[in-house]
Parts: sequence; structure tokens; C-alpha cells
Amino acid sequence: MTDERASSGDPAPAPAASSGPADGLGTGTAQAHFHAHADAHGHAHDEIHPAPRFFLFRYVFSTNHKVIAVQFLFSGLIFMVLGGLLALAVRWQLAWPWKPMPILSRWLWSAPSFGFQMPPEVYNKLFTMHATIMIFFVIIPLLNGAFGNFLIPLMIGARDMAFPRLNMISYWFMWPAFVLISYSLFVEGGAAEAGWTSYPPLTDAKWSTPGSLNGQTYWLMAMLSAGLSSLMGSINYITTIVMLRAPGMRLFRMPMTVWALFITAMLQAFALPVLTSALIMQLLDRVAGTNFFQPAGATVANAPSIVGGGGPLLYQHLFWFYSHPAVYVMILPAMGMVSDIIATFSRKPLFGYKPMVIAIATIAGLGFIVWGHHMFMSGMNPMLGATFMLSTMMIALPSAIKVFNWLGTMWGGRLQYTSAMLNAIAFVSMFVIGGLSGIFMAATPVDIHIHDTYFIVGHIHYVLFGGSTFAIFAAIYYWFPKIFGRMMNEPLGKIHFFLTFIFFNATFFPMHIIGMHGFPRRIADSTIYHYLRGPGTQGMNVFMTISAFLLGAAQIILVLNFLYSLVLGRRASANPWHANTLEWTTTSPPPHYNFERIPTVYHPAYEYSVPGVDEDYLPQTMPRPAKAGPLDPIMA
Amino acid sequence: MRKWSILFAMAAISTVGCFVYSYFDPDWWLPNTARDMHRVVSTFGREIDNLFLIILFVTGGVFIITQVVLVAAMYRFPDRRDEQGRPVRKAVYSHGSQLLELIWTVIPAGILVFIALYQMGTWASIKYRGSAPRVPPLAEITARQFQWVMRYPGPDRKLNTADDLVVIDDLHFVKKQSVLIYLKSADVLHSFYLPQLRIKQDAVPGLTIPVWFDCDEAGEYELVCAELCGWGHYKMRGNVTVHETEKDLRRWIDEKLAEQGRSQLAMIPGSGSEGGDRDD
Amino acid sequence: MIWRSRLGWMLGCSFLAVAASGCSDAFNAGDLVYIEAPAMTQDLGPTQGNLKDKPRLREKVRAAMKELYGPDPQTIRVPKGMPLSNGGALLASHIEGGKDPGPHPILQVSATPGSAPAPQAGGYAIYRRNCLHCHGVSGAGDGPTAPFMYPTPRDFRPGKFKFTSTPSGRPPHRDDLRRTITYGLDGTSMPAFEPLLTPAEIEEVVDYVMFLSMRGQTELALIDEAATFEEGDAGEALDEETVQSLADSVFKMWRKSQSARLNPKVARTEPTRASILRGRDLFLASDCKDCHGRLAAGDGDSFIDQETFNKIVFGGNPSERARRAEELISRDSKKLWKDDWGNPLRPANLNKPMYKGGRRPIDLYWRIAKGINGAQMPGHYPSPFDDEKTWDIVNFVLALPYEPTLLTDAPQNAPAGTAVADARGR
Repeated sequence: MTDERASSGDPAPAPAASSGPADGLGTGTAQAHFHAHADAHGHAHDEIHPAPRFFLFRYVFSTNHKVIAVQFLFSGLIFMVLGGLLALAVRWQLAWPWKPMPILSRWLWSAPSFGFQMPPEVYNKLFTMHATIMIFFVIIPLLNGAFGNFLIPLMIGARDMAFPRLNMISYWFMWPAFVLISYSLFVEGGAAEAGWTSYPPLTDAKWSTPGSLNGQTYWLMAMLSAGLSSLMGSINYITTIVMLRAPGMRLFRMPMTVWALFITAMLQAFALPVLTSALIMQLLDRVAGTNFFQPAGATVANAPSIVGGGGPLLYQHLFWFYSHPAVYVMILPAMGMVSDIIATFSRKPLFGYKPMVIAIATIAGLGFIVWGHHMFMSGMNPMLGATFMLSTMMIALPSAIKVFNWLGTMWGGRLQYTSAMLNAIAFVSMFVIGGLSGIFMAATPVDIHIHDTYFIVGHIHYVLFGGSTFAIFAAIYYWFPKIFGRMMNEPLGKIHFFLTFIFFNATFFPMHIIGMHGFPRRIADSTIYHYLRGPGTQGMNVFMTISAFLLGAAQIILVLNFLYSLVLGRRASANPWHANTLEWTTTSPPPHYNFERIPTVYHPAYEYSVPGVDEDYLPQTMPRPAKAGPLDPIMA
Repeated sequence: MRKWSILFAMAAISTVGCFVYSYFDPDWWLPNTARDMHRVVSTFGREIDNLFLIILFVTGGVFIITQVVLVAAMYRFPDRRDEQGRPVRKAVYSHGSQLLELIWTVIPAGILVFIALYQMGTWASIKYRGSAPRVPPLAEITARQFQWVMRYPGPDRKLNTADDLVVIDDLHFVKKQSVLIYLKSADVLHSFYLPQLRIKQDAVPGLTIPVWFDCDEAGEYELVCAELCGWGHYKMRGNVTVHETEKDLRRWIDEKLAEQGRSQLAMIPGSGSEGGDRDD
Repeated sequence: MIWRSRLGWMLGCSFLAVAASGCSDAFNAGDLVYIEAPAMTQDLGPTQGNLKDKPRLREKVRAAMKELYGPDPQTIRVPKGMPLSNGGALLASHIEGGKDPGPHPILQVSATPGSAPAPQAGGYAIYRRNCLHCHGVSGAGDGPTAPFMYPTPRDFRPGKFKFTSTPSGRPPHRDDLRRTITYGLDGTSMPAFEPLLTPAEIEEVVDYVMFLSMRGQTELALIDEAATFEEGDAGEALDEETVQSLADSVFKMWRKSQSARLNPKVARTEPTRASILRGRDLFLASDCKDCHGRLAAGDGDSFIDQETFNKIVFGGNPSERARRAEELISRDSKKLWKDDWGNPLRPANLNKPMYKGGRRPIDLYWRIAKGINGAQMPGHYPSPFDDEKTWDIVNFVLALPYEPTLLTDAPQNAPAGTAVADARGR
């Protein structure tokens, strides 16, 4: 990627691409006002409001999708650090059970009767909070909140979201969640500790475990608030994508990222109400004395026995009806972004664009009928298990198709190993492992052995870290120039990738092995089990812990690179990667109103190395040359 | 630039190597008896392990193929420039291939459907109520925080009567016999997990769930709680003892019953020394 | 390439730090301390002497405790004559001066927590691993998890244990502690350690619990003794001889308990119908029903009603229990609701086959004959119940859960027909 080519040989006629940011801003503002007056009663998406001048409205309570995206990005990254540190504490306990942690133990358990030792309920809090934070405050907000917000309007050629104020509210609804979760650490009994799945009766019965005394209520309220945030975001995304596409941006010309975010938003919109109702029911059980999820006659923790008859399994059904689609909420946008990044850096059209879109839609559709595979061992009618096994097996198919298409995209390309591309390839490579290990769990008899073992933990981390998080890294490296107008440091990025990739595998792959050996998840001390005492098993735990610490340390490089580039990075040109999608036709960073003139789109986003074009890319705003021939109607 | 393919190749090789090596390490492989790490001791265990291995080989094959393609692509197609900084070759301009899409849709679909259907029988024999063995229940196991309360029928061979034997965390049965237990929970969710026997079933308050299994080698095994049940979840371990003969089991039950019925300190020989003199 | 070398340095250090801390516990194990008895600094009423305004005497007690039992939980001293197996050698993994303590009057054991492999860990390390988060470093029942459970974990320091086979008020027999640890206490949060520890390890823990208990008792005795002195006479108080004799009297009590188990003089009556019915009549005729209730549902008149009890104990945060109790129990209420440790207490619901102190007939015999130490259950032997009567009641209690009609259909209970239905539910 050389800079000269970007500035000299740019074929795009769009003025924004060749003019500097300051220039674009000046002319843009004038035109914006002109548009605003001329089209005051005309097309809604041509209306432009001037950027607010007052700091509070410009950067804090902003309705600008780009500012909101950055807000999501920063809060997500901050919580990622927190969630990561919690995971390290979990790993510490697993490798050296009950050994005081450096510094932390002295700080937290120095009361004379506590003896510097992590109590078992704190271990449960750690993994519960780790999962809650990583899923609801990091991955979903980063993929959907940050990159969804930033990319949707820019990629479809819109000036902002359809409902900018709703967009703002959707970010600020995350704050009650942040505050409640943080506050719950300090209430009596501490934070919730029933796992991120929060199964009743452990969560309903207040005395069943310290975290269920008060912390669980805060957890539920935090999740409700985060859920509402996602719900508002998803409605906004759907409306924006349906209503505000630029002229010529037909549905099958949208980049994969937009497709993925579109389908993700629909998943959220349809599934979240179910989770919301489940959370409200559990909240009522806890505070209003209802009995949705508690069976009659159970006596928890020597407290008086429960009257009334609810069903614990009902909650599991409701929860997984949302949370299985939520798994796809966490991976589909990543798949979309990775598709764009791989195509860009392979300098080659995306292999099978339409099949890819259909695969995503199939995953989303099937995603609604596979929730039962989380409940094979739950006491649900085993005949249902057989049905869910079949649908679950089928959902592996579109995922497989996507992987083959990514490989097809890379094959015969001209691969440019930028940090973004390396992370994207790592996504493909690691997602294969995460996807294939899913087949073990889909097979009900095998699931009998590996259900609730570290095999599952390994699987979910290969999907959510190896998948989503590598995609987030790739997206940060890829869109950082567009978001902040500065380039990130490539050598640092590559070192970060190199270390992350190695230590990620060293941390999480052994989990499959010990999971196969029957190592149950969520246990604070495995050494009480004879079959887990062996040096091989415990040694593997120590190995994983040390790798996890190194993995954590490697992220310091990313933080340093991020902060350094934010302030001192090289200024980015409009289109540093020579990509086709619309966001690269405007300045870096884009002006308040994104596009000076709403662009016109002529073809899908993946016209790289088109024969007859001098450059190896063809922005969507440029018509295809006649001699390139018609597009394949089935594939592109 | 193509050196990056080595990193991905190494990752793939080491992950495959991990599984290959695990076959030789009793601490890594599927949990089995201490004496012979490859001897699976239960009927269901053998079926589940076979399915596990089938899936392992299928997924392993797919994994190796995709990783080889990925690494080969990374190795063969890096962006190379000549002296002027121009690309040496152009990327292929292709939007896809219907034939390829068809192939890689149909073949995996076939494999997945095969795997799914192939498992149905095993699943049915392990979990469907209709497959439960027609034997009287060995015990009723009630999980509570944080132990397994096991209730064996007493001399009247009936459960839930005054002569039942009640022990904590101690499961005993006879080898090569189908064992049926009733699983209950007194408080929250638990999960009855016998790793060496490859049996797992959640215990749900309000439900009585029959679980059946067998074991063809006498010895000591372990019972694990596999569903988060509170602060003491990790310590919810149970001992499992498989006896050689029915007589051994009866002897154990009788011993325990005698102890449970103890009404004098010196009833059992050997403990007489500590009883006796009363001082008031 | 400065940053690259710095990076290497940083990663290398973090790796070493992790590895080093994983290997050695000394790296981050803090200074553990024993918690002092509250009487050291507070006035707890007339029954217990205190050193509230006597700092010099306090120092004397502290010095004496240090001399006797070691300065902190990590350096254990076993005073001469302490009735522990192997002279206290099971308390920790490493004994200064080798396995054989020799003729020295004081055995010094240095404990390394948790690092030694399980079988050789010693009582201290096993306690630290399995017991500490409920019972606390000093055995005061105040570990981090303790506030969130009911019944509350035992405070070992007064040397009082509920479920014993020794005469009422005496320290427990070693086997009582062993049984409690091995099989747990049904209906409480005390789990069974049989599947978690080997018999040898359980012996080690028993020793450590006894050590903490005797240590706590000695401390109380020393405070009591010191409280008889004026602050000005601190110089004369607690000379070496007195200290040793106080400790010896504690040890003597324990040693005596080891050969003083209560054995029923008469063998158990066969649990015939007649015996069960006799037991029922005794139950209804005696003061049993006052606490356990006419239907034995644990709702007798002498105790505060169950609803209030549940509101106090389970009705909110444990830290506010005292406030709730104050609000809900009127000052002049004569109703019982606490044990000697100040923890809320409820009579057992005998309709459930759940027996905290064990389900063997002999266990129930002990509960009835000699009561439950520290709780409100008094001893009933030899009066009002002799051996035969006690066995009848035992037979009745064992039969009741499987035959709830025993009480509901009892002629004595006939008028209380309305209460019958809901007693079964409880």
C-alpha cells in the first residue's frame, strides 16, 4: 500500500476523494445549507443540518452517527479491558487454585478472617461478569453499535441514520447498564454469580448463592437496559437500510457488511423482545413474588420452601430463543466486515457474493429454530432434542459455505498482508475451528459427554474471540483511517497480530482437549476430582493461564498503537486501501454530513481488478466499462 | 510477505498435533479407567466415543482441507511488485462459480445429514423414556446444594419408606447390569455427570428424571456436578463404586444399613474401645 | 528498534512474574493473623470477663497466646500436653526439626499453605483450602461466604459444638468432629467431605479444628483470668505457671471428653407400633410440642412464629438481621429464637427426614437425652425420659416423616383439625 498511488492515480471523479478534509468541509457546508433550503420539502435524505458547535451536543449528546459510533467504540474497548482482566483472574484460580493473587488478593481479601484467598463465590462472579461484559458490553456494542453505526450510513450513501435522536438514545441507554453492573459489585453479596445464562432457580431464590441476594436484580436491570439499547439500534438500522440507500444502491449492490448488519438488526428486533420478557419475568419473581420459574416445594439454602409452581425450563427456552440468535448477532457482522476486508486486500471480487448473502440470511432464519441445542441435557423431552439436532446440523452448512467462499476469494488474488487482512484471515482460520467444534455439540450423543465442559468454553472462545474479536481487530485496523483520519502503525499492528494469534491459540485450543477429557466448566477448583488431577490436565491449565496472561499483555501493543495513532498517526488519505465501498469516496474522517453530494451507485462493491480498468479497483460510484462485460447475475 | 502463511500453517499443525498426541496421554484423552486409558467401560461410552471419533475424523478432514487451501492461497498469491512498484500479476477477475457453490453445498449437507441421522439411534437408546431398562430402580438421587443425597431401597425393596438407606455422595452398583436411577433436585439445577461412563443429565427441581447406564468394569469412578449450582458448585463430587457381584453390593448396603441403624456405641466390632464409660 | 527491545523486556518480565508467582506462595501470601476474642476489647456482659480498659493486661494475654500457640496461623506452636494425634504433627506439612519433635516442650510447625500436594498438605493447608471461606482464618465462623448462609458456620473458639456424643456442655469427642466433617450436616450448608478428602486428610483437619478450638478456649480463659486483675497490677498477672495451668485445664477437658461418650444403658426398643405410639404420646404430653409444635412442624408456641423468623433471617440482607429482629420482636417477648452464639434458631420440622446431627438412632438418642449444646434443645435424660422412653421417642421421630397421620390423627390433636392440612405442606 503506497501513498503515491492513492493520491495520483485515483480514478474516482468524486471531488471528496482527491480534496483534503479541510477543503471538503468548507465547500460541503455551503452546499449543505443550499440543499437544506432548496429541498426543504423534498427528499428527506438530502436534508442537512449543520454540525452542532456546542461541545456537549457535538461530542456527548450527539445525534451524529459517527460520534455515536466512536462513543460505542470507546466504551466497548474500555469494557473489553475490564472483561479481559476478569478472565485473567479466572485463569489464575484455575491454574493455581486458592493461591492468593498478586496485589489483588491483598487488596480484596485482606480482612483477617478472609486470609487473602479468593472465595469460591467470587470465582463465580468473575466468570459471570466476564461473560456478561464481553457479550453484552463489548462484542455486541462494538460490532453493531460502533461499526454498525459508523458504516451503515457511509456504506449506503446516507447522510445519517433514519432516526438520529433514537440513535443517540440507544447509546445512552447503555449507560444505566454500565452503571448498574458496576454498582452491583458493591452491593451486599456482590455481583451476580449465576453465569451469564442466569438460570433459575439459582437466580430466583435469593439465598441460593451470595450473588443472587441483590446482585442478580441489578444484573437483570442492566440487561434490560442493554437490550432496549440494542432494540432501538436495530429498528434504526433496519429503517435506515430500507429507506436511505443512495440512488442506484440496490439491495444486491450493498456491501456484505451492510447486509450482515441488516440481517443482524432483524434478528435483534425479532428475538430481543423474548429475552426482555424473560428478564422481566425473572425480575418479577425476585422483587414482586411471582412464580414463573420456581417449582413448588423446592427448598433452597435452608430457606422456607417455595409455594406456587413455575417451570425452570421455561426460562431456558425463553433465554435461548434470544441468546442463540444473539450468537449470530455476535458473528454475522464480523462475517460481513471480514468479507469486505478480504475482498479489498485480495484485490479480487468477493467469491459468490449472492450465495454469501443468502448464506447469512439462512443462518439468521435457521438461527430461530436451533435454540434447543443448548438444552439437550436440561430435562427437555429428548425427542425434541432429535429435532434440534437436525436443524443445528443444518445451520453448519451456510457457515461452511461462507468459509469456502472466503477461501475462493483469496485464491488467485493478490493478497496484501496488512494488519487488517491478517486479522481477517485469522478470523477465517479460527472460525473454521469454532464452527467444526460446534458439530460435536450438535450431535446429541456426543453432547452428553462434552456438554458443560471446557470443550464448550473452547468452542465459544474460538467463535467469539477467534471469530468476532479478530474481526473487530481487523475492522479497527481497516476503518481506523476513516474514523479518525489517521493511519495506524503497521509494524506494531503486525506484531500485535502475531502475538495475539499465537497466544490466542495457546490459550484456547487446549480447552478442547481438557474438555474432551471431561473437565467441567465453571468449577473453581478442579483438583478435587481425581481424573483431573493428573499432571497433564493441571499442567495444561497452567499452560493456558500463562498463555492467557501473555495474550492479555499483547493487547497492550494494540492500546499503545491505538492511542499513538490517534494523536500522532500519519494523516490518512480518503481511500488508503483502494477500496470500492462508498465510505472511501468521502474524506477521512468524513464531514458531518458524510457526503457532499449523495453518490450514485453503479455496481456491487466488489469490482476489483476489473479487466479494462487501469487501476485494480473501481469505486461503486464509477460505472463499469462496457468491455468488462455484464455481471454474472447469479453470483454477483 | 508469504512468510505469514507459515504462521497459519503452524497453528493448524499444532492443533491437529494436539489431538493426535492426546490419544497417547491419559490426562488428555477421553476419561477412562486408570489402568487402561483406551478401555471404555460402558455401553453408551463405546457408542458415544465411536460417534465422537467419527465426527473428529470428519471435522479433522475438513479442517485439514480448509487450512491447506488457506495456507496454499496465502503462500501462492501474495502481492508481489516489480522494481517500479507495479504488481507482478493481476488478480483473477471472477465472481464465483456455480459448480463450486453447488459442490460445497451438497457435499457438506450430505455429510451433516448423515452425521445427524447416524446419531439418532444412540440418542434414543440413551435418553428416550421408552428405552429405559425394565429393572427396579437402584436408587433415587436427590441433588441439593452441594451434595448428592442417595436413597437406596431398604430390605423391603421399595423406595421412600422408613427402611431406606440414605447416604451422601456415594453411588454403588454392580458391573454389567443395567442401572436405573431416579434423578431429582431439592433446590436449584444440578447435573448428574459420570465422565468415565459418559452420562450426563440435569437434575431439575420439580421433575423426576430416569437415568440409566451400565459399567463393565468394577472399580472406583467419579460423579461430577456439571451445572452451575451456586458458590460450592465445584465441590459437589460423588464417589462411584462399581462392584464385581451383586453379593458385594448387598454386603455394602447391609453394612451401611447396620451403621444407619446403630443404637449402641459398641455395636460394630473394633469401635468398642472408644465407647463405654460414662461419667455422670 | 528501541521499542522492540522494550517490548521484549516487558513481555519477558510479565512471563517471569506469572511463572514465579505460580511456583512460590511466599511471593504473595499475606501476613495472616488470628482474630482476637471480642472480650479482649469489648464489654460483653457480666458472664464473660473483659479487658476493655486494660491495655497492659491485653498485651500480657497476647504475649501468652503467642508463646503458647505461635504468633500467626502460618507459624503454629503446639503446647505441651495438647491432645492432638502425633503431638500435632498432622497440623502442617513441615515440622521444624524433622518428623520427631523430640523432648522439647514446644513443638514448632511452620505451615506452607496450599503449596504441598494434597496428601501431605497437613491440617492447616487443607483447612485453608476447604474450610476457610466459611469458618475464617481463626475458626471464628466469619469467612467471606459465612454471612450468606443459614444456619451460620460454627465459631470453634468457644469450644462448643452442637452435635456431640459427650455429656452436655463438654467438648466433643474426636469422632463427633470426624463424622461432621465426613458426612456433613444435613439441612445446613456444611457439606460432606467424604468424597473430597481421604480419611487421613480428614484426621488432619480434625486436628486443626481441635487446635483452633482449644486455642480459642485458652484465649477466653486467659482473658477471664486477666480480668480479675486491676490494670495497675498487670505485672503480677498471668505468670508462666498460671498460663500453663489454664491451658492445661482446657486440654484436660478435651482429653476427658475422649473417654466420656454417652452410651445408652439399655438397647434400643424395637420400633414396633406400640413403641411408636408410646413415643407419640410422650411427645404430645411433654414439653416437646412447646417448641416443635403439636404437629412437629417446628412451629411450637415457645418459639417466635415461623413467619417472623423467616422475615428476620431470610427477609433481606444479612447485615440488617439485627435491625429486622429489633423491629419484629417486641422487647418483652419471652419467646425463644437464638442460640448461645447469638444466631437465629428454629426448632426442627420433624415431618421431614432431615436430621442435622445424623439419622442413626443413637444420634437421635443423644439429641434427646443430652440436648444440643448451645441451642435451645435441653437434655431430657434421666428425667423426664429414662432410656426406654427416650427410645420410644426416637422410634416415633424416625417413623413420623413416612406416616404424617401419626400426629394429625392423634386423639390429643383432634380439635386442631384445621391446622392439619397445612402442617403436611411445611
